[in-house]
Amino acid sequence: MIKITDETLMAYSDGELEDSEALSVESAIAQDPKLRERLARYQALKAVFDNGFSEVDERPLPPGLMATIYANKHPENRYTLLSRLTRFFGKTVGWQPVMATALVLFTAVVFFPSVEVPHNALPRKLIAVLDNMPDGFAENGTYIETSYVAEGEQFCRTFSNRPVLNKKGLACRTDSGTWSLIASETLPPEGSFLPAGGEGGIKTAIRKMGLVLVSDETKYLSKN
Amino acid sequence: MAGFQDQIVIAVPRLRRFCVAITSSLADGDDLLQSTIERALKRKETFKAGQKIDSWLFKIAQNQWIDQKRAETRRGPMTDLSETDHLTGEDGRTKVEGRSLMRQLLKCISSLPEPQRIVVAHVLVAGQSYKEAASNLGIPVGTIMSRLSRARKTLEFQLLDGKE
Repeated sequence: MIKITDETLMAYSDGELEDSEALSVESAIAQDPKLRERLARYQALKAVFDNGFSEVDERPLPPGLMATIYANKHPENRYTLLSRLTRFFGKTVGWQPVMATALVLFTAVVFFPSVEVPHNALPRKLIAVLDNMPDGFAENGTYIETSYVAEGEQFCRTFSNRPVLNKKGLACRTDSGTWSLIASETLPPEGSFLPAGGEGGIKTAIRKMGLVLVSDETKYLSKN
Repeated sequence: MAGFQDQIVIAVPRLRRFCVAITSSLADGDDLLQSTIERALKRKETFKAGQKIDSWLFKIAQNQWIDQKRAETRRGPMTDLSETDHLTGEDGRTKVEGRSLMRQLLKCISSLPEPQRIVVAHVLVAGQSYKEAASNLGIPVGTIMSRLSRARKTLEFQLLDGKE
């Protein structure tokens, strides 16, 4: 009979042995009750780990994790742009701070003119996402969470936008087709898994407006 | 083929277990999970086609954790088991048993020497093969086996025989 070491038995228990080696171990186990007992202990330990760590799977994911993943849908484009800007500024020593500040201001004015405006003037990019993106998808830094309808079929959606607004919001489409921000909450710092919170009270707004979850939001989208 | 983000989402449950195991804490594990995902997204270009995404993510998580440990020298003990207290479920009894088991497991894992803890996280928690773990850690398969064997003896002693 071959000598079976602890490590060999452990490898057998973990399914790491080749077929021929596994057969040798099995024949040794069949003849040796002590080996059977050792193997049973390995398997018992494995079961303890499986049961114990199933608790981790049952816990809700940190809020914002999925939004973080899908908010970076095209990171390679941003990387390329950033690399190009870095290379450009790298050649104009002395002007970097001025040009960087000017660029930031220009970008803020041109692309995000309505960051501070709470109602009826959401950023165009955000409106496009609200109009076209199904639930659970993200574009331009905006992640669409859930869709609702109010009485009279008014279409409303919850979303989170970290890059521009740093907020989670509830917006509803008005009769004229524009979007109005109904409520918002400040997102927790990136990396934190604290819930979003603040002055807005999205849940309260949903309750007060009597919003009902939409089962098929695509029929309300502009590109349906 | 699933997109990069979708592959990450699929790997999240295993990555989360791995993070909890190496930090020996549910709260710190979730922090590490979040920072690992953020770093992975920023370094997408370092992910090679054909590479297993979970191995790549485990490596990032491991490096993140080492960096964090270096940076947070003033921090107290890593084990924060109070996070398990809010767990509720339909079967209260099972939950309490599970919670207590999780608590005990993390305590035992935290008592292992770091090299053994990392091997346990790779193999017993995240379900990697010896070969994958060896490749991720840059050590021979034989070293994985010997560390795992020593860790198992300690864990058996504590978890199955109930001795500290």
